[in-house]
Amino acid sequence: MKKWYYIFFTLLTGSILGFYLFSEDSKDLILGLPRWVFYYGVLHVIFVWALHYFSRDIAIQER
Amino acid sequence: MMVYIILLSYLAFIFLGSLIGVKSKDATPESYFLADRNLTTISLFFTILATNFSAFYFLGFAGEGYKVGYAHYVMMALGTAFAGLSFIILGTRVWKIGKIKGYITPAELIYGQSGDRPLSYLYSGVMIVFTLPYLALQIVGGGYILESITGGDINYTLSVILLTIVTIVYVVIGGMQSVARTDLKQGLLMIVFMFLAVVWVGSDLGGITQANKEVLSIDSSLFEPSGKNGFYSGQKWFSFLIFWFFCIPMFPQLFMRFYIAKDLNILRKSAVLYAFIPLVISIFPVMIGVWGHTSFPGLEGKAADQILPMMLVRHTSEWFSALVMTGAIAAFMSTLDSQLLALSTMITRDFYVPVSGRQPDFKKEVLIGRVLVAILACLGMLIAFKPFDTIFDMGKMAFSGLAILFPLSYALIKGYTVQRYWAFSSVIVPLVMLFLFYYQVLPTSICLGFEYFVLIIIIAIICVSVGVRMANKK
Repeated sequence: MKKWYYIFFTLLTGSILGFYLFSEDSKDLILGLPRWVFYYGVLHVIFVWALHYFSRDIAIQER
Repeated sequence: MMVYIILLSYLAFIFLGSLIGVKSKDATPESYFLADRNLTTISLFFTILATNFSAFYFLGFAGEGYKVGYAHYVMMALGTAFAGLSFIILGTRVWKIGKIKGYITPAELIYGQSGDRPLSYLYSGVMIVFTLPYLALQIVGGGYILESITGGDINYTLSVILLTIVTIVYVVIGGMQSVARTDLKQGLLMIVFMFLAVVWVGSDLGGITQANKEVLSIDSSLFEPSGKNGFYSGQKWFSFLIFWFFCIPMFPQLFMRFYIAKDLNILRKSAVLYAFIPLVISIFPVMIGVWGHTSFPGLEGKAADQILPMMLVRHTSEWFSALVMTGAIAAFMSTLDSQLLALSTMITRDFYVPVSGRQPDFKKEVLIGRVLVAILACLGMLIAFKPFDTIFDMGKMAFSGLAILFPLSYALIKGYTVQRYWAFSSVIVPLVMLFLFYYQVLPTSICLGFEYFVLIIIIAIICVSVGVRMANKK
């Protein structure tokens, strides 16, 4: 069940960030890029983090 | 003159260098087609990366960045990351079964799991047919760029012919070993060059922040999460995010990469790295595409696909633009070589061997594969002479056809039995629908704002689910 915890956590975090991301003013730039791009970056890193743990569980199962 | 020196030196370094040492090995299907199933994390990661980031990345991303804006970056990067998830869900099991049973092609696995030869023919046939436009797309992209960097001295037609011949020669000689070595070098250089290109073009436009501010004053909708003119609606976001999950592992050249990992941990690590890297590298071509509005306003359709070379020529030096563009050509070729190798292997093992009823000796099998590489490359070249769409649309059509195979692959690889009638339906019905949508017989309005491939994939999932239930009842 541990893997579903990671996936659930990613989706939950992604949803919260997603709401924030899309409610942002796109003219608000950080280093020339819209702020929502950086929120997306955080979401992406969390996703990869969850994927790392998920893949470990899958690899253990497959062995 | 400098352009030609860079072009020849780069291609010699990337491709000829990879052939050293390959000829001395005895040719066996395992070594020629799967590099002896012996790739380490770094080699496997870069070969997956270089195989998948192709003309679509260099020209397609920049072109869509120009047309849609930064929304395209997020769409492609997160979507590609989801493919990492499907690599783990599907790829780990494919690796395991492939290793035990000695499979080389995707359809061998489907036949092994289902015991249904006609189904494996259909499966392999669909993979081959829908990989051909994607294969041609690499030649199209290479042709555009070679024509562009030589200032038209080598026209599009000649460019296409030259690139096809060079690729045939080194795939025929080297097989997967040379392909994997090429991909490692090519993947590294691709990342470095695109990063330097963004820095250089950005500096020439007064700095990255200044360049973005200028575009913002021209068209602020390019900075919206929904893209220019609301192109990426909620439904489109959903469509493209699930799209890559379903289609990328079904590229035959990627599916066969699942077999070549040395062990399961290597495949797992490569998949996680693959999910991370688009976050970094997808922004580069999209950024240059967005900045294109400052220098080349008003481009539409296929013209926008040329924005990357146009920006490099305008904003960097001649040698640098030649270097990056040669790197792009090498990227196309490193995708093309993998596709050629995968398709030739599939035709040999999925059709020639079962239809003829003869198992050729290893050397003959490799020879047949080599002849097929040449034939397929020429077929791709013929399609490239008259490309039928923009790079993005050409890719979307090819990818949709491949995504159809995911639900059936998943069910069979996970060990479910799918009733024969429904297994065939899960491929044929969505295929018919794909053509009806593509040729506008079916209106896309019935998809309620989602991309047509979402409906097609749902139909395939339903057919497979019903097939599994029916088989269980029996």
